[in-house]
Amino acid sequence: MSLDTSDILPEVPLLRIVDYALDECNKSQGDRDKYWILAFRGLVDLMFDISAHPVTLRIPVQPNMTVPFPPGCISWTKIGILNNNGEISTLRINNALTTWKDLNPNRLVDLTPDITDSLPTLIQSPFYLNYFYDGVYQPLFGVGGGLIQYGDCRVDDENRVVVLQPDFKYSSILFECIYSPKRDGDYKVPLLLQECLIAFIKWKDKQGTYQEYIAAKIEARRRLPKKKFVLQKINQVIRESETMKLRG
Amino acid sequence: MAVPYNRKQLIQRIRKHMNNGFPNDAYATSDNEIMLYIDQAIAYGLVGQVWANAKVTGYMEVPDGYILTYALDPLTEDPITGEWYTNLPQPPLGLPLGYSINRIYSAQAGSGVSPDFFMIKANRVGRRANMPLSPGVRVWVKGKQIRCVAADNMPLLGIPVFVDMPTNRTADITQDMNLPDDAIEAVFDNVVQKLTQRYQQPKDIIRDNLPAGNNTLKS
Repeated sequence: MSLDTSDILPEVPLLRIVDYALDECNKSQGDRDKYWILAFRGLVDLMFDISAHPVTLRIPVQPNMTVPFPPGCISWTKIGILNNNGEISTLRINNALTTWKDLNPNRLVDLTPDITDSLPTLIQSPFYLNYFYDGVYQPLFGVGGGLIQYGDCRVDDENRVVVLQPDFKYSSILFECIYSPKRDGDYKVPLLLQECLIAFIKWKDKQGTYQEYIAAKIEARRRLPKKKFVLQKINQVIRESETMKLRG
Repeated sequence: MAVPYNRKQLIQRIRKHMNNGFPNDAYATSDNEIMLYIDQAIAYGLVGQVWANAKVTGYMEVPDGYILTYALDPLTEDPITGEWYTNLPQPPLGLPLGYSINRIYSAQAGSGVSPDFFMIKANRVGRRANMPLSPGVRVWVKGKQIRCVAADNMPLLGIPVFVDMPTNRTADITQDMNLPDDAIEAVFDNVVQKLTQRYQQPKDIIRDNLPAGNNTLKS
């Protein structure tokens, strides 16, 4: 079945939203380019707030124990590895890790003298990361709960690279980030942002107000799939709150 | 089917009106002279009509009757700038872009009509390249010329370009006039006024339908 402009789809071209706004404001084709630029700015504004869908990518670890950001990454949301349940287990953010020479392929070589001279190495202490021992997952009895540590990382936003500890055990990491929106000739925008973007355009072109834009933004946020309240969510709350316990 | 109304007929009507009251037929104006006055009056009336309507409705709109579609000459590349250019049938009227030119697009048999080119107002051309590029072709006007660039710098060689714009000129004097009939009154009055001023010929008012003798007008 072919789709045409009358079909309501989950994503709508940015250009169509621009034309909706032109039509609503009785503007001519001479204002189309200006409105497209305003829509683009609106999209960027909404991206940092509600519009962006995080994208998860599996990225190999470089030999120097760093991982470069994917080119379209706007901001990262989660860094981890895949566990045996198919979940992302996040790495611990350790800002003590140095970003020194993190773009240099010889980073590890340059760090090695310092690592060799470090105290744990000198006293021959075993490699130990909470539940992990020698790269094998072991549920150690008596060790407190909390997050399992699969490794440490530090994010160097300036150089757009993730710095890992020198003895990081995994060959790749999962990197979840807000990615640059899809372009297929034109940008595709989630349908629920349609009226919000029109409100943004009108505000910037002095046809509407900032308050109207914010109201449209709040309304759009309420319509986000994760924010929408469905019966299954109530079930989930009940499932998670039910525990085995003594009842009086 | 209405009878077509062309510029030649309007010229004849104006000439007849002017000749009618003059004492002799030495009134000599060429068709071309009257046509220039008509062209001028149409443009003046059109622009005035658009602004007058805007005062009432709150937004601008060119009456549809003025708008014609023109197939332009093939685009040629400017080797220095890499832009593609061709000529409009006339420089656009003194209205904001979007009204002086309604739309510019490409069309050909088989593939149909393309999305509209993005028209860039003259004061935005310089800064436009520094902002995200909209999909498709950007176009701006330089006098009688339009200049086009594709977003991906694709060559536009051989692309047939069409323009919809209101015009006050006619290529052929016998071609149908593209203006709403209600505008003809204003055009006629304007041209007659200009010609009357131009020739400054007094009119003899001859009441030749009255009988001989001492006559007074009776109501």
